Amino acid sequence: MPYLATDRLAKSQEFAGPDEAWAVAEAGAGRRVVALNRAAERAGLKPGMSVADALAIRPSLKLAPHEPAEEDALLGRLAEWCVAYTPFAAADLWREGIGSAGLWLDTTGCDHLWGGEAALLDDLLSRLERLGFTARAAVADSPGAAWGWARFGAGGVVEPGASRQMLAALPVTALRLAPDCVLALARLGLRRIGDLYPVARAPLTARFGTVVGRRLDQALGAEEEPISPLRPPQSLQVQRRFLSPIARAEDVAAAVQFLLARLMDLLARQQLGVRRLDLSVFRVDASCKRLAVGTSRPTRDAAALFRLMALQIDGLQAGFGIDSLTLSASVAAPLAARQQDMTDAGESESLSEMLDTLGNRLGFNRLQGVPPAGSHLPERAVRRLPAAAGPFPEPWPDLRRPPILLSRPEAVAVTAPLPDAPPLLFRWRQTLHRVRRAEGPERLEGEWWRDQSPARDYYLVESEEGERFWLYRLGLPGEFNPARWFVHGLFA
Amino acid sequence: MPDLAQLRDRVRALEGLPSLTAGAGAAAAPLGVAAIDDCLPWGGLPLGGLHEIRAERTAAPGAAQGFTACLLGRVARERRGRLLWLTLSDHLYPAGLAGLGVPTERLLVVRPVRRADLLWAAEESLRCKGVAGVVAELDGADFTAARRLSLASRGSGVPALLFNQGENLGAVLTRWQVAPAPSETSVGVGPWRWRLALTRCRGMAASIDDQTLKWVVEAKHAKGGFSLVALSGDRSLGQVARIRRTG
Repeated sequence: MPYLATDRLAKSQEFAGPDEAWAVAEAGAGRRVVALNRAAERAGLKPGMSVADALAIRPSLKLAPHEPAEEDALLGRLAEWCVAYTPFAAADLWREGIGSAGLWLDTTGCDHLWGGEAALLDDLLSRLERLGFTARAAVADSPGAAWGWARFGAGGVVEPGASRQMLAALPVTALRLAPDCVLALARLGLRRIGDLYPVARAPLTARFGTVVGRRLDQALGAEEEPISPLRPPQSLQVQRRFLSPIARAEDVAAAVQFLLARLMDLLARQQLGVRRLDLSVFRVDASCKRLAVGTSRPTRDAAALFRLMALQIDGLQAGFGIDSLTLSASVAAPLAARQQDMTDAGESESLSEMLDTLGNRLGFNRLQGVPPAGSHLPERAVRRLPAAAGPFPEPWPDLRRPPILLSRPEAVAVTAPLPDAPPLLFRWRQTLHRVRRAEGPERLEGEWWRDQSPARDYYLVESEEGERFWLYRLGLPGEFNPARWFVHGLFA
Repeated sequence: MPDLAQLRDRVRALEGLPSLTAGAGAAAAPLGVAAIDDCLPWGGLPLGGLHEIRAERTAAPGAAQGFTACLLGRVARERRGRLLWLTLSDHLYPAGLAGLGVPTERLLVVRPVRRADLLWAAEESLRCKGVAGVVAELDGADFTAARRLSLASRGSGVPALLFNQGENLGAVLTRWQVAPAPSETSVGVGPWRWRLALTRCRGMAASIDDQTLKWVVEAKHAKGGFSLVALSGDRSLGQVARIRRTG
């Protein structure tokens, strides 16, 4: 995708008119041009030249800031969209000096679905073009050869076994080598890939390290080069394409139910249950939306899973319509044939189902079991564990603790007769409380292995109205002057 | 008149109230205080339905929260399964709930971010028979929302304790108003004492529906439940019990 950076801007409508020349440039002093559109290239500009030079050649040149992160994100989205062609799609991010950004697709076993490799390329290119992306593509025996052929060759299909011959005429840059390496090779008179074929490996390695030899082997298919696909290969996946795009929520729901039934069959045969379900929705405008639901224990209950999905399908925006749907069990766990239990299986199952429903909408971290943690400090005394982990049979220490603990202790003004006595009256939240009874102090030291926080003396005090508070004084008696008091909790 | 009694039972069944003729013990969680249990037509806190707990002053929510926890503890004795406490705030402290008789090993704290999610989660959990009881901290809810919760609770028999800081809720079976009361002890601070007022109770004879029943109770630390300290209602208990028996 030679014009990705400028195509991205063209889509944002800021730069109307295909004939206008504009460039993407780095920010800051000594700015250099990073990418150009076609009109600018025709004017004789080149990436890498300084902005001042470029403006001298073409004064009407428009400039836009370079946003590599945005471009990478766009490429990632395009790669996701390409999953419609093959499950092995990955983004080839732009790196300084080495060709332009692009996409990897491993079409092995997928091309026949499109009527051959050439037809697949045509389809891909024409769709990208309609979306406003200029792209060049090549299919070859190895990723390296396809990379070079797409960028420096004619593009298109390289017949099996023809890579060596086709690549021979390309410049060595087509081997994904860094600019300084290319320059050094040129000094030796090695300008074309074909020039490298007869050169002995040992001196090449001695001079350039292993990179040249490895890139050459990768291009010629002598060395395997795996591409890392966006998502791992999945066999627990079912797909449905639509002859004409669908948009109504009911249609989507029906299609999802159909897919769920097929996926559950697939899982049942392998004695697996789903823990996490991913639904990829491919829209006609080349965007892809992913919905995911998780369950706390493996299940094959299509109806229950559909209920979880339905919560999200309702909020799905179909846009111009949906091309195809892919449903995959991205996390599966063994689930033996259903166990019949007469006692309380039904109850615990409906409970875990309900917790799944809550977790999927609220987030599983919002459902917490609350066993004691081994800490005497009130704010650290409670552990928060995922709901599915419980029940938690540990008992709490037999201490008087409030059911309401303020997440941040609130400072109060206090009148106490003596430094180590409970307060007589205190003002909290604009209300004056007269203390009628008090209990304490309960001295809680800071945890020396964590921090050096001062000790706290906790008092349980009861006001004349009967309200009960958990107050503490920071530090030992007299350590702070005036003494600092806080309300930490409200008793029942 | 057997016909009239049958008819009454049918009407009460439609209203979601227990039958007067058949034993209705299993559908209620007794509070463990005879004076209060006798006033409730169900002989305790009915399980399938909404119960609203309000603080007399919203600035002092501790007592009402403690009473809610106590009721949850009573419910947990009657029903198996997990207990859910739904709250938007982050200041619920389970260590303190344990001292009020809530079996915290069965407790799940659900903390939605939005108010609408909390009502939705309350309804979902009330539909689930595997749940022993649900507490939801609300700041009011419109009638439709309360009605939905009520239907869910009645359908499954899972009791809902709504600790409400907002407007009075509709569709509730009982409404309790709670205020702290000074404790009594020789040294330090004694067991928690609360002033309870039963300000609404469905199915109580119409003549006392608008009357207020009041008690002062004392919580039993760690054991759960409470004991009666004093009556402050102006109506004698015997009269109320008699009304209940005659229907």
